[in-house]
Amino acid sequence: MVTMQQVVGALEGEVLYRTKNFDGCEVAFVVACDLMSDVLVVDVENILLVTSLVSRQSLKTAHLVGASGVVIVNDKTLPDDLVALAEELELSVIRTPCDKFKCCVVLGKLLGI
Amino acid sequence: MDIVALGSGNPPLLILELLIRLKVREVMSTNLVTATRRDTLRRIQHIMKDMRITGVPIVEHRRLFGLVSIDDIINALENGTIEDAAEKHMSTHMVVLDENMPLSLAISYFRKFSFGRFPVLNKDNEITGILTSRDINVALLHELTLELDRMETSTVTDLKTDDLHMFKVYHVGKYDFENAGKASTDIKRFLKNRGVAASIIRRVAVAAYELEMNQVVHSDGGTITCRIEPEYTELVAQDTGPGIENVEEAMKEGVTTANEWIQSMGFGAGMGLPNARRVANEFHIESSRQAGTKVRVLIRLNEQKEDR
Repeated sequence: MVTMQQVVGALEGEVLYRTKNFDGCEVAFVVACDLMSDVLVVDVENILLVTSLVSRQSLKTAHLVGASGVVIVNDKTLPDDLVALAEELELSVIRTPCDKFKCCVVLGKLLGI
Repeated sequence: MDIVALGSGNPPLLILELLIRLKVREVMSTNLVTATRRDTLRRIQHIMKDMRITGVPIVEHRRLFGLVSIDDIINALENGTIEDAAEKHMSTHMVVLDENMPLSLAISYFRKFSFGRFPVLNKDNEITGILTSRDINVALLHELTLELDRMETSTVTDLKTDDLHMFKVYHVGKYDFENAGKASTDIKRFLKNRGVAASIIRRVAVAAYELEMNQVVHSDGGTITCRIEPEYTELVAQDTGPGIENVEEAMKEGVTTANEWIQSMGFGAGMGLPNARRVANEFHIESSRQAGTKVRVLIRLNEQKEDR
């Protein structure tokens, strides 16, 4: 398990929305996916969703599977309405300049995979 | 409480609720046409004719002294007393309503007494209005119209929900990606508050979301009916069409008929139905060109799925 703060550090990320329990959130698995139907198949706890899809659906999907947070790759940012949605869903969102592959490599090392 | 005035049998809950919620003061006519004790019955007869009303309260300084009805006028015409002052012939034995009474109680008065109208008084015994059955009909129609508007524009109809049970119908619109996920989020929140295990909540949420997204992406719109009981959650997705041509094919993972636009939003991977079946304890699907598609998913809340 790693903390969300460790994830932010490793990815040189910026927190776009920080939940109240951000410091207590942990990550055990990474799901890197732009196809939300595939995310819904995953059946583990403490997921971090890595995606380049910036949409209401990516946040809602992460929320529904109980993800610890979402990482948006390629330095994409969230429009205001999606920040509001993240707040509504109590879901942490981070952005990183890494592309998806690099992001996965960094997170893999961090998790000791 | 007797509400036979509204027809026999059990009136719908909505009407019962309205009858208890609405107070007499919200329904009564406040445009009072009154006369004084010294006015002649002839004058009151003219008032009735001009204003097209059948009863005139006799009021001075907001205090109610009596009521002259059309019957009193007919009697006066027959007996040659039409030029007499109102106070000589007005009815003084009246049944009045308190303005804060619920409408349900007022309706029972219409049944109990054969009056066509009831004067309404406030707590200082001043007359503030008059209630006729027409006022009640108009008010109920108005409130029911508002209620229907609300039901038509809302995306969810709550049939019966308390701490342990939920029974809701969510309306899902074709290509309504904005609202997609509302049902699953709502259901998830409810189960979480009920303290259901996280892994089971996830299965219910995934099933609800897949069924919702299927309707958004593939159907002409439909409903998700969610019934949560202490032991299980049942989701029934019913759409209005166009139906699945080959259900067996649609149940295979990766088979999709979604276009690129839908796939660009992260959906249409051909995983929806198989995934809903994967998380379910019971799964049933039927589809036809005429009746659209109906999917029923049942997930037990107090056990893990054994074959997973």
